[in-house]
Amino acid sequence: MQDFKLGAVESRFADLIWLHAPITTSELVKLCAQELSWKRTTTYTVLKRLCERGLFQTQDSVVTPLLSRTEFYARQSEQFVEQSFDGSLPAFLAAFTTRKRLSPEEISEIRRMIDACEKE
Amino acid sequence: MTELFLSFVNRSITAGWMILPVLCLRWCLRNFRSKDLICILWGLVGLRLALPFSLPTPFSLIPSAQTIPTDIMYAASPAIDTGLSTLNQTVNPMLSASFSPDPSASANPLQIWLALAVLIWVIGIALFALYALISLLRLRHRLTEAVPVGENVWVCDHIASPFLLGLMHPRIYLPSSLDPQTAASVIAHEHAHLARHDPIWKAVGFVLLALYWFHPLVWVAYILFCRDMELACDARATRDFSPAERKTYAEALLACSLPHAVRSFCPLAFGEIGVKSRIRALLQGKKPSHFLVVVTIFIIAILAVCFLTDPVPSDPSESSTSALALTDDVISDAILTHYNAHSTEDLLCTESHIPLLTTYRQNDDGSLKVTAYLMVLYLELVRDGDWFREQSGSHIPTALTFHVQSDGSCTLTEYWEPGDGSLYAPDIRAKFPADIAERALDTQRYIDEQMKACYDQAIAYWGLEEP
Repeated sequence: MQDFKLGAVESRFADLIWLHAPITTSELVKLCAQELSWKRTTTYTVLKRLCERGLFQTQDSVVTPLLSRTEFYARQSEQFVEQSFDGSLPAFLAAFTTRKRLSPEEISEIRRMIDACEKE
Repeated sequence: MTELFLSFVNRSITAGWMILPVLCLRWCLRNFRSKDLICILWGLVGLRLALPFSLPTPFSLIPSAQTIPTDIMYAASPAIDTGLSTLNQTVNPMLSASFSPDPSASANPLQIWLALAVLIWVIGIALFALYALISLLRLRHRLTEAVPVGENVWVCDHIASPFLLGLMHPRIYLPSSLDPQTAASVIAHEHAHLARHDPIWKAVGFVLLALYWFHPLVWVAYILFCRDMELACDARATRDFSPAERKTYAEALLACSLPHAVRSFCPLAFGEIGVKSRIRALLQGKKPSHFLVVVTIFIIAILAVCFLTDPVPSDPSESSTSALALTDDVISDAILTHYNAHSTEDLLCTESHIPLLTTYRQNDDGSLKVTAYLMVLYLELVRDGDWFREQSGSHIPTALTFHVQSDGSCTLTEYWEPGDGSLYAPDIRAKFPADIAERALDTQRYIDEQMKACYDQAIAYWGLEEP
């Protein structure tokens, strides 16, 4: 479960499921054949792999997500900050802003988010 | 099967003679931007290796088209013809001494060695085939999750570098982690491969390598051919690029080069082969003048004629044809003449000779001095009732020396036998080469075989039935 990285092709597959969930496995197979040119066995293999990683689950031939897309990418960024900045979000932001300046809209949005956190 | 193997060995030796000047020419042309001419050269080498026949012309620079005679197993004194007489004279006496068939032994040692060599050769080919098959299957397994993203271009998570795969309809495979700029350069390069039909040439090269794996120069040729193929594709892909575009392409090359061992076999991978020389060629290569190109094409044509054709066989200075004129019959005649043999209806004068060693020396006038060291049994058999008996005979080591002319005529110049009594052993040790002198003294070793040979002749002569 602990690896929240997905290859580019796997992300496309995951996005298909998030977009169409809940979806039966046979419909998923047809969808993948159409969008990705995948064979039936390939779709099953990758689905099984992602289920083992805790992203989706298959029950009675219906695929449902265990994590929503936003949740998944949130955990992915958490993991990234953890691995690259020792979990320090300020350090990440500092690194992020050394090369790119924040626009005024971004600054006010972040301010609003900080205020929202404080209130909790 | 042995003949097939020997024909492959001979072809590889001729190709080896060709690969050396190709390597020289390649080094001379190393600054040319276009590597297409060099690839043509490698194509010619491949032709030499692939074709089982060739035209004999007087322009051929190949020393010898058939270094190892395909019937060498059956020769009384095995000899090879490398086309260089000094090499022949060094190697052939050793071969005759080690490999002359010994009738007292049950099997010809040369046959055994050759059979072993053929087995090893076939095992090598099988290993190549197995390696190719397994690599291909593993790659195909990894590519099951590939997704098409454009015309003939596919993307896959599980591959580490871009490559071209497929013989009939090759596909370009890219790792999913490739950024678009790098991808553009890669695709340009792979399209150049497709335009030149490289997947086919590389497969042909691999098959030739599998068949000729025993020759080190063939490996050199294959590895350099792969490199030159990549350089040619780089040149073709960046032909009309500005220096800035070339720089981007070089960066793409760097981005794709990976620190793993070079797998120069199945797919045509982008970043694997000789990255340093490729980048250098991209950024520095000069376009040669038209004059130089024409001169190079001329040189290549000359090379083709000189090395794709075989030497004309009836060359008077070739020692093998002259030596082969010294047949068993010539030796038999010499022996029978020496003993004044006159066979009649009731008397058969017969001989059996076993070659121990044959030495060759080239004379100044182009003729060959051949000395045959033999164990000779001379028997006079006389008819006795419905069988025969021995009347007289002699079993003695003998050295016959012939002068063999280029037209094949043989003249006996010396018929040597050791002296009697106490002179016998010392004479033999003095006259015969050291490695066969002891065998020559051991007459018991050969007597049974030779008696049988003479008796068989008598049986045939009088039409008798064997008891």
